[in-house]
Amino acid sequence: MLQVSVYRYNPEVDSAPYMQDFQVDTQGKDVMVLDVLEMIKAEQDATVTYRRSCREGVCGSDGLNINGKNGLACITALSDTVKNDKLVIRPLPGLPVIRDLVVDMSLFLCAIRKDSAVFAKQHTRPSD
Amino acid sequence: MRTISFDGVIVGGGGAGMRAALQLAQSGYKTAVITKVFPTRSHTVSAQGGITCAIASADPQDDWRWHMYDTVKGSDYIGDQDAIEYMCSVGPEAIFELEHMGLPFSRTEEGRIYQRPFGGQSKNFGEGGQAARTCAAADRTGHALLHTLYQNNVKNETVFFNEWFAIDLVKNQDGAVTGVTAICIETGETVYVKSKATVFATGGAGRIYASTTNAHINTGDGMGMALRAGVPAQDMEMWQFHPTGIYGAGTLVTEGCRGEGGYLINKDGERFMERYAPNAKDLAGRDVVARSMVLEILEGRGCGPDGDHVKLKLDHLGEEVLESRLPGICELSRTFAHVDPVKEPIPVVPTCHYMMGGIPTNIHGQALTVDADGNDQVIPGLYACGEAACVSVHGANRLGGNSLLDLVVFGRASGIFIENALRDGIEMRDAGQSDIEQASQRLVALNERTDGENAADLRKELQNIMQNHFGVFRKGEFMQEGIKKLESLRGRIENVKCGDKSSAFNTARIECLELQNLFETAEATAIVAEARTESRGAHAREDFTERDDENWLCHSMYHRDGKRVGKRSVNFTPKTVDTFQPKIRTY
Repeated sequence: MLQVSVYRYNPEVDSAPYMQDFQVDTQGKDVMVLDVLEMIKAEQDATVTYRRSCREGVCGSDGLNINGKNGLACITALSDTVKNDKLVIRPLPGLPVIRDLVVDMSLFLCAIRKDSAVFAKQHTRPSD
Repeated sequence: MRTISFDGVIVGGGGAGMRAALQLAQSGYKTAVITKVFPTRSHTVSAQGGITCAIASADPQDDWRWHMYDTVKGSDYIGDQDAIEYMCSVGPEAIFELEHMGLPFSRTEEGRIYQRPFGGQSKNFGEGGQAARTCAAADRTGHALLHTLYQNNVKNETVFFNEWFAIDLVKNQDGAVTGVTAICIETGETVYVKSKATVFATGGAGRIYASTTNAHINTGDGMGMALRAGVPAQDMEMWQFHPTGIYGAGTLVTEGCRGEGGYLINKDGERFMERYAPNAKDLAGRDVVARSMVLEILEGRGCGPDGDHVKLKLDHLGEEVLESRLPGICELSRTFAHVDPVKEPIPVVPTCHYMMGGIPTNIHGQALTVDADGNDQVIPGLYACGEAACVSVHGANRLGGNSLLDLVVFGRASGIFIENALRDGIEMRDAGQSDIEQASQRLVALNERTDGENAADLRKELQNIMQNHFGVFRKGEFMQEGIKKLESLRGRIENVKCGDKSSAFNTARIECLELQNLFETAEATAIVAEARTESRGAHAREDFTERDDENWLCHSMYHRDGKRVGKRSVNFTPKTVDTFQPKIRTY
């Protein structure tokens, strides 16, 4: 039985964030951390909130802090991260938390926007 | 409910949506993109192999007419030939535009855009052997395309409503589309987004199947909204099962692997495609390859302890080729199959991949319906492009690399048409209060409901029905059984219980709304699949094994109201070339 500790925070009702513990039966399979989150949301607590899309490590949606290390949940296998049957999932550090594992990416994206605009300007040619 | 007005609104921030947005942003009209994920997370990001286009880089003799022939044949003759003509002829322009925008294509020694061989591509109208026509950025072409389009939209100051989810279409009393209702995922606020032109670029719906290459977000939202609003869906029975999804995970392994020289083997190590498609072999049309794989498995030559998959052999290509041209799939194979393709073959199985069907449109992206006499009728205010649309350039089966081309060509075409229409002036009656309220009804009902079943369980049930009854090979009675199961599922899905009642970033609510869209898409698929009594392209029936051009050389049309199935003619009159006459389709 996997002990999973998930960072929770709902701005509407919580004055402060807290860690919530779940027990997840992975039936001995070496699944990805995203699969564990999906199991918790589907079977135990539908309010657990996180971003995800491609589930194959190309879109970047599910960047999380997993057992202290930042990575994409969909390509982090339990065998890569779990120690002593314990899995701790927290949002990416350094950014404001919107809810649970969802962070406000605006600051990060603002920087990309500035760079993108510059890059696109430098590398596009006027149409022929 | 607050109203926000635009000249044009695009629902969906993937390749097609962003190409349309770019066109409109450059026009100076007030436009916005509504997208339920940050644009660069859209599923276009995972497209691997490339954009097929006759830019004549690898082969200076290459001709867009050859590409057109391949696409018409690939569609098993129900692709609209005028639309295919447009896409293939305009294609090179669209590719060079992308190149000028900064898309980092892979390059040859001479600095030209790298083109790889891909399925169903030939020289000289099928007579001249395999063509290398698919322009690529390693095996991450979709990723490169999406980021290039996003950066250029940023440069052109496109307005983005990121992480907003469109709920339903708003129609006025004349039946014209005047916008959408949408919920801001972050805050839970519902808004009426009013627009003179609403473009659906909402992508596919692979998540109606249990095993799919698609992302979690591919839930047929455009199809659900369209069908509920009385817009018909075309060719919904045509679902592509990609030959090489990783066994177990469903993750896509690009056709480009076979383009670079890889091939499929059965448990005896035999390159079995030599038997099924003597000329094209592993690069036959995807429907042909998928069926061949399933037959090998059914006939006992599958791999593994359960004999339920085959293998894709790549080690003979050598580490250098694999790491330089197919680095993405090397990583995917190691992560999801625990196999290093440099050393061992990858276990693969046909996996639900692409929706050839969708909202019927003309080449300008205008959504169409048919009137009582069977004539096409434009639905004012509504447009569609990309996978959600059915122009149709893919007919009953899509060729690899043609989807990325479809996105940019028709994203651009829709944008151009709307720009001109806005310039000419679009007059539309405002929607009334009751029209707007109707478009948020299902959200209100969901929020008020206190009982009902869990969304995840209902979704799994839906996916299993589709996977079992509407897969690669289909059979009448078995499909009828599936349709009955779906019928009894409808009410339960309409009454799904939302397990999270909060407002802030409530993804459980979005999953419930998506589930209802999945259902509409699934039921449309099931009903037309049972109705089309022939085998054509990706639609293969054990009880009707042959193509029936006399009765079915046409599109299917599905109307949710009354669950009616109709037919709509295919266009056989391209403007500048002769019609490609239907022939027996072999590779």
